[in-house]
Amino acid sequence: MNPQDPNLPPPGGAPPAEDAASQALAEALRSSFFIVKIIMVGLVLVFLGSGFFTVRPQERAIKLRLGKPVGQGSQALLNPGPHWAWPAPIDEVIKIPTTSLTNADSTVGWYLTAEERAKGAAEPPPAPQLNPATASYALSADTNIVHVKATAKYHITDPIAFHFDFVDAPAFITNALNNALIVAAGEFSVDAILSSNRSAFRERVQQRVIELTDGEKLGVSVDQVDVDCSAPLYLKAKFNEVNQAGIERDNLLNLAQSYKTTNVLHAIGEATNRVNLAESARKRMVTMIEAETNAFLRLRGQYERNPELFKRIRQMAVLENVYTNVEAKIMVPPNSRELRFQLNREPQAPTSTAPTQP
Amino acid sequence: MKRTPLTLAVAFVLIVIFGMMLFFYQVRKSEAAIVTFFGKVVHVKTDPGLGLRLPWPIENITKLDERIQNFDGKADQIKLNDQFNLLLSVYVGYQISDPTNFFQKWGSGSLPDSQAERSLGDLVRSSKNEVAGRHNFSDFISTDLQQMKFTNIEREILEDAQRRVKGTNFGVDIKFIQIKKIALPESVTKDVFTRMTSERETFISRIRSDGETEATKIKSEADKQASLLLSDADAQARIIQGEGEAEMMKSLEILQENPDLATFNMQIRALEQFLQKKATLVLDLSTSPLQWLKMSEPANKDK
Repeated sequence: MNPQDPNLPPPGGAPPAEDAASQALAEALRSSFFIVKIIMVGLVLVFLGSGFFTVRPQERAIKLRLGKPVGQGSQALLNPGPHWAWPAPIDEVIKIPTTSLTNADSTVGWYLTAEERAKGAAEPPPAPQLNPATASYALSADTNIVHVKATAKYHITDPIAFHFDFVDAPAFITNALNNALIVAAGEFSVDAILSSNRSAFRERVQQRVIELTDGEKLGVSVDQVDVDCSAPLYLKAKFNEVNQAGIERDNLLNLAQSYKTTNVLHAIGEATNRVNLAESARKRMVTMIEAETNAFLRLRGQYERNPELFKRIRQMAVLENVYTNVEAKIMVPPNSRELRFQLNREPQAPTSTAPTQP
Repeated sequence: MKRTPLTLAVAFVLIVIFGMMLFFYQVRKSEAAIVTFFGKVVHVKTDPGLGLRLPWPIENITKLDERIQNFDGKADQIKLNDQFNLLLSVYVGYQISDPTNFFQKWGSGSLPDSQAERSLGDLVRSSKNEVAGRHNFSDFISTDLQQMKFTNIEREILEDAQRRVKGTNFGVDIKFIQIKKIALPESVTKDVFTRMTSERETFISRIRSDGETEATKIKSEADKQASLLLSDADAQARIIQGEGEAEMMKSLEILQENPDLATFNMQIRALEQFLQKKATLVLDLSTSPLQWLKMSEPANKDK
């Protein structure tokens, strides 16, 4: 028997069982290590795969590698599309919305706070005096109280400045709006703010907001500022009365303008008519006298040969014409002593010649 | 256990990561890192990237935000130069300019409502009250834009606050100060409302009377214009009539050569025109040529 023969059982009986157990343990460890390896490879793949990210069309991204932006200036901005970065803590990706418009609301000047406005709270009851600790308003140039609020629509043009130069850039825009409302209100009278020069007031607010955001290089472009204004709640009825008086005045002026238009147009027509009448009278008169002169020249020779005969012939010719064309002819019988006519005030219906009573 | 290359690689990576965590620190853009050696500042790193360090607790790293931070100042009632009372509050933007000083004075606190902001707020309030107190009410709001000094006041407050901050070891720089609220004392608002009510009533009566005056003016202007138009037309008509008469006079010179014939012609034509229509003639037999109807009487006897 060869004591080195591995196929022979160890002396005493126990060793063969130990060997089998060791083998089983080794086998189990091998299997476990294999699973661990698989898991480790999987984790490495997950680790590397977690670095993929997408930049959407309305945003830009900045990749910080060990805290430092990858690229200088605008080259540091990642455009829309798929990208890859080392997982944290090596790389850090910061996404910033750029092209989409963002709203910022003012927080001073209105009788409701921004939160109350967002919740749709009702108007507070009118108060005869305003506590500055709780009420908010602006002062107009003519030292009147007025409520104003504004909403700015902006988009980010320089994401690096917007994100890395300011802790809270949106708060800056909100306060720029607040400041712009106070400044602009201080330059306009209450009537200009509420009615007569509202658009100029809005433009001044927008101009001031742009001045402030550009001045601090906030990296945004203010596209639009909407402004809303209101009289103090306590005086709203009085302001409405002023508006009503203005409407009444406008109506009165419209009526007067209408009267003017009608009257002047009528006068123009009447004047034209009078001139035309004069012109036609002139023409008629000139034509008549010319006709008379022509007849005179034509008949003068005949007349001068025998004036009496000429007159008789012309007279007879005219009488013939007249007797023929007159509407009624009444012959008075010879030796009549009287002639009676019945004259009606109202014109008679056209029948025949007037009845006569001899 | 056998040491496979993969096991060695994993172990190496783990050791590297652990070593980096112990011996390196990272500074982001817009951050400053203060490295302290048993509490003493030994290095300040302001540029972004990796920095070397000794492991904690030998060296400690504190990071400060170097971006512009902001806070709202408290509203104060200020007596202006013209004795007018005004409530004013401002909005302040500041930035850590000296991280070492800031850290030594305030620790790592640059958060809202921190001691740093409260102290800075007090300092700005002093500047605001002092500067505003030198100005009149009309410097804040005025219908005369030349008189208004709103932006100048903001600049003066900023310069004064910056000067005060320089004299401290706050380690910050004030970047901007904007007035965010102006208000009147509560009792004054009541007077303002009374005045505004009276102004509105004056406006209402003025608007109404102005409207009536303007409407009357427009109407009388219209009447005047119409009257002028008609009188101009009458004048023009008279001129035309005169021109017609002048033209007629030329023909009269010809007619004057035989006035008897001219008169006869015109009379006979007028008679013809006059009796052309709707006329009723009452005739007796003596009227020429009706006398010829009287057969019993001599033919040569007229009438």
